[in-house]
Amino acid sequence: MKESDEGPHHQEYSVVVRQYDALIQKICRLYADTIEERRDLAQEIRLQLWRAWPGFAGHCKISTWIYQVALNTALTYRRGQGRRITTHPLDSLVDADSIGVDECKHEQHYALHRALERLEPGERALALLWLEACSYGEIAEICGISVNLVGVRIHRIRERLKRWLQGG
Amino acid sequence: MSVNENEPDLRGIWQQIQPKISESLTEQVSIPRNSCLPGERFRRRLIWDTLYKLIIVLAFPVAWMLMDRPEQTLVFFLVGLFFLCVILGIWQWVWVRSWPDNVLGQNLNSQLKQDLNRWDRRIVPLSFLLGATPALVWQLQQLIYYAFTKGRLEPSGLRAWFFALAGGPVLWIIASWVSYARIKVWLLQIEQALSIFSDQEYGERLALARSKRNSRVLIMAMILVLLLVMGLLLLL
Repeated sequence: MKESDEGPHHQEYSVVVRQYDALIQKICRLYADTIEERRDLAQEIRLQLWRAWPGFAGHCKISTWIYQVALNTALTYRRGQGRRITTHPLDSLVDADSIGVDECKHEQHYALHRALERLEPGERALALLWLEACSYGEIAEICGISVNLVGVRIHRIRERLKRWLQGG
Repeated sequence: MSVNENEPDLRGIWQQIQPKISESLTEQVSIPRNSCLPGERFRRRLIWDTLYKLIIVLAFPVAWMLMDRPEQTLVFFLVGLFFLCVILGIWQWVWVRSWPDNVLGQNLNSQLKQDLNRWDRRIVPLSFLLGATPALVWQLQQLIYYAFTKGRLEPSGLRAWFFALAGGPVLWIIASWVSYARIKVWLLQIEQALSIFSDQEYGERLALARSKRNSRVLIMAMILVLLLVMGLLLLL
């Protein structure tokens, strides 16, 4: 691996990882509990992207492929951690550059995170993709299920999230 | 998708706060060297387990020194088990090292199915290989016991053979049975993840597998404690 670190392959990889870092961070927040675990998971996703990179032949959009690798890694990582129900402290979800955003929005965002954490890891992946405004077709491609099933699942997940956010 | 005014706008809430880009990402992103995913950690554990099996060759000179002692038949039995474990250790080393790196570039459903098939094929030989290690450790302490007690345990005695068999093949079988249950729980976790994408229920099966695993671990721990207590009583 050391030799290829220097080559154009590594440069392309670096560009892609920097470009999609925000997405990787969002996935890490959803699947890792502490800041250290999130850092570990982000590293793990970058490692898996590096390993899978030579196999990416442009058969799908790069964002679709990044979602596949990152979510596969997060789901596998989560299996290794076992099931733990935790809640993030609000501070850990607030980034320095989002300080301008008002308190109320932070509270809403925090509540949404807590609601997402109540979902099973696989359902959380579907919810994340929908929240990221992916089309049903793209979600179906990332998850490997039919578009109809995506529709049914997303509808159920959305209803539950809304209910939980309204205090149900 | 009509949005009721009283309902929270989930996408709006989600997109209003964007995460900060990692400060550590400089011009060229460094590539992490070691994976911490469960499959890779398990693989590393299997390689360490191989070393325990291979290190047993150090016990052969001790066994050789005991060959002219009254426990000769028992020592032959122990050496036979050690030899078998060394062969298994070499096989385990070659086999585990030959596993390809898991590349996670497929869709979630296919990846889970592939993981499930791969580990499903490996579960029986892996359980057998992992089960050998506790039995090997027990046999090693038997050998050390014989080296230090100078024939206190009569060679033809039932007690000596009881310890050799209970701490050898029987413990091997039980430890393999425990390893099988442990790996099965892991496989069911993958199946449960698959159920989210394919409308099947695995929760109950997972709970059952976990309780099986826990009871098997408890049985093995009880057998080990029993053997230890019986051994200590014989020494008194």
